[in-house]
Amino acid sequence: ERVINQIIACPTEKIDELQKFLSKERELLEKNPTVTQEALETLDLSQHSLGALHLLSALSTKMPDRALFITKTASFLEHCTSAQIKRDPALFANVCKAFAMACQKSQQSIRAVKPLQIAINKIGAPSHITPQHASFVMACICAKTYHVPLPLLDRLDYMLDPQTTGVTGEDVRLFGYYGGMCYIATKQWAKALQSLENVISVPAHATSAIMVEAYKKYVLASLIHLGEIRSLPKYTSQAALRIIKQICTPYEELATAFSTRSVEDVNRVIEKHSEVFLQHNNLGLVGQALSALKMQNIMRLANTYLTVSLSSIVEKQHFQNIQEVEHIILKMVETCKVNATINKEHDYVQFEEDESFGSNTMVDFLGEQINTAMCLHREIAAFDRGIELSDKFLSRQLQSKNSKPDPVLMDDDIGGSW
Amino acid sequence: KNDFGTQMSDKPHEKKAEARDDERKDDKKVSKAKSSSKKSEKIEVKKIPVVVPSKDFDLEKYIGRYEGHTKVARLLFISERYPEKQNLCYKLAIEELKKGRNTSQYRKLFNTVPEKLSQAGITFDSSWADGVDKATSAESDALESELQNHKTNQNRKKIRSIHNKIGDICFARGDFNGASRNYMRTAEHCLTPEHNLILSKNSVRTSLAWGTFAQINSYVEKAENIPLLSNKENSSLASMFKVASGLAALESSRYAEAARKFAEASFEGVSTLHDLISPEDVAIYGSLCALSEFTREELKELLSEFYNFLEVVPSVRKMLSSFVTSNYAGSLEVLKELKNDLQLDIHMHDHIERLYTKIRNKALKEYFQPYCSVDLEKMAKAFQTTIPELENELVELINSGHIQARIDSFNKCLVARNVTKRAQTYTKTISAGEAYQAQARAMLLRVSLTQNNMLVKPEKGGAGFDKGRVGTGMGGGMMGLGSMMGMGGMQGRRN
Repeated sequence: ERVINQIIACPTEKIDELQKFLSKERELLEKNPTVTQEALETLDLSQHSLGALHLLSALSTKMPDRALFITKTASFLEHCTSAQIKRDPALFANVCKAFAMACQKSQQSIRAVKPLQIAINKIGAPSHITPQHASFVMACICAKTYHVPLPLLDRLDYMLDPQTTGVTGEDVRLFGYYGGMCYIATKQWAKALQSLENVISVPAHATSAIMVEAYKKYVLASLIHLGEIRSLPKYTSQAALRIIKQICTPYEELATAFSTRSVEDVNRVIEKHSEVFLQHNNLGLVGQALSALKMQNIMRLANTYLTVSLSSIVEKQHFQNIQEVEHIILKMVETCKVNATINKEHDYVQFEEDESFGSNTMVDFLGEQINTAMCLHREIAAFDRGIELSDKFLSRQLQSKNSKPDPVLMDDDIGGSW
Repeated sequence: KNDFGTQMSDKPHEKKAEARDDERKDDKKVSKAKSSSKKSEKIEVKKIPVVVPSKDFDLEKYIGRYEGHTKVARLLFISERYPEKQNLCYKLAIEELKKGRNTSQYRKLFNTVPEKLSQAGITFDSSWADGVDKATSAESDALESELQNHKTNQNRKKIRSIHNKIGDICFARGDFNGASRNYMRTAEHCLTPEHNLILSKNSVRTSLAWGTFAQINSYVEKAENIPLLSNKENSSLASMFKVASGLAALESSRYAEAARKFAEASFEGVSTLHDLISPEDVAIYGSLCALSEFTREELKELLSEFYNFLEVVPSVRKMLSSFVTSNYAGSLEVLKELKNDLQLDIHMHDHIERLYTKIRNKALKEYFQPYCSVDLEKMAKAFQTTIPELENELVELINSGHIQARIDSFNKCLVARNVTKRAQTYTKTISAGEAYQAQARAMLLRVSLTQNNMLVKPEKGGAGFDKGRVGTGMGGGMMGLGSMMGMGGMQGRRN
């Protein structure tokens, strides 16, 4: 009760003092969860957000009543005032995470989606990554609402400020990984590959489980989209990559089978490792990879043949029957991957050239791209300027001007290894 | 793969009736040799293919063009691949060896394939072998002691000449390592260009006989810088150098270079190089390499340059001229005939397949070049193949980008494809733009991570794997985007 009174009585100017006080009282709050719960009821969430935050975080460690926690947190996230929250971002992150987990456990992830989305904006400036990013996307994946995070992902935030947002490297990696999964679910393969690649090539001295999972999905998405593993950028940590590859041998085998372009080989590898794939929850993707291979094989035909008979396709590429081939070609024409006409009377497929360039839509598209690129360039310039003007960099420059330049520092391996 | 059994057992029936009891005994010995040679074949790493050359192939005439080391080497090579004439090969090889002083190879032969030699009717002539050994060792001892003398006297001329002599003896004996060593020792005593020329000649000769083609080019370069080489009396030397560099290029599959070098050799010069190569060889090697790499104008030039050589091998001349006049069918026919026999050739055997495919692909490409669309049936006839096979070949060529066309299976023709530059430019531009954006964003993220020192670090005391803890320590150094200075200096505490 003492605590409650303090919270209610505290005016807005003395929020910092309140923060210190509450942090000290944490143990007390945690020990009596039921009392804390009741106390929570009495608080007005928007006025006394900081207090509510502390109470909620105390509850999150021991949750006597999960449903209540979920409801309370949901309304909290919607109504809390960001100024107060920002005093203790780490606590806020904890609450959000616990909230997402609780929802997942009680199969109600969809309830977490909206509140977390609001939470992101409450604590982070635009283009900053926050821990809530990761929790939000995870909740969306559990709720299978894959399209909801897409605008957020496309925004491509990159700034990090651990002090105001409490974000950690792990959050960034999780965000990238979940983002990749969303893109995969919505079949935007190129963006998925980019997202996953960011996770895998994060500056690292060691391997993290997130990177391993990301690599597995990266291999599969790469096979589906390109038919081979896209090469990772040069700055990927070699040590980490080596360990990852050792762990992911079934996936590497699948990729080698792919390079022979033979459906039987790939099938064999899949059967051999089907349990492993199942365990990793990747069996669905693997199946998609197999159908992608069949499609890719037919695409290659389009490059060498003007017309080709359906029965010879069935023969040469070991399909089951003509219907399967027709089906695949129809799907490809639908998704505009290839321009083809099937002539059933004479039993052949005719491939046409793609002549869509030079239209208005193309010109508009190019104009759009140019704009985005220019904005990006401006952002980079501003970022660069910010670093150049920062104290640390300038003092470093002065230092190096006084002493000889140290060749060791030209090492590309960034990291605090000293 | 020929089964030794069936081949050998046919022989007694086919051979002219030579009333020799030995032959029946030979058969039994052959079957024994068969099984043992089969065993030795299993031990060998590379499988040696058995070649059945064409009826025109006359072993004696072929081998009569050569002498010395290359003759023996070729005979042994052929004996492994041409089991019919194996005995003849061995006989001729032993004869040649006896003309020289190469007892080590003589002994080696008897050690490795004694049964074959004995059933060819050859016995180990120990008296000859020992005699030669004794004589040469006496000679070399004498030379060695002379050498010591001159070394103490610092008589450069003498030292040089004795090293050369010792080198020559080693060369004759088949000790190419020793020969090469001795020749190189003369290098520091060479005073005149002529000396250098002789040094180069010896080194090249040794390398060729030894089979170390890699060093030949450096020797030849040295030699060709000596103006003395262009004198008339040195024309055979000059040709030898050309041929040597041609062979070296051939070994490393640089066919265009090889063709040019062979073309630069003079006919008279090559005719004197019996212990190395024959004019027919130069003609064949040069033409094949040229066919696979030269353009049509270059081939026309070659026809005139190579005139003398081609006289000796009229079929090769026919092959070249048919190709130039776009009679691809005729050219490929001759090529097929040559191919089989060339598998017995010591330099050509592992290149012939590759050259053949190259020439064939080139022919296909040039055949199609002037046309917009070509009937596959006519093309198949011209290249003496069936339509399905031709389709496969064409698919390969299209996929590798040599032919810009597409196959119309329904109408059975090959249709040229217009690759619009415009479409290409658009695709390139778009992908460049996308790549830039992706890279820029990735970089921003990475810089942010580094700025806040958010690396993946191993757990304290744990192995590198496992969910790494992240250090969010206070600022490490900053990575300036402009100046790529790494982290250093001010490092925060490592968590």
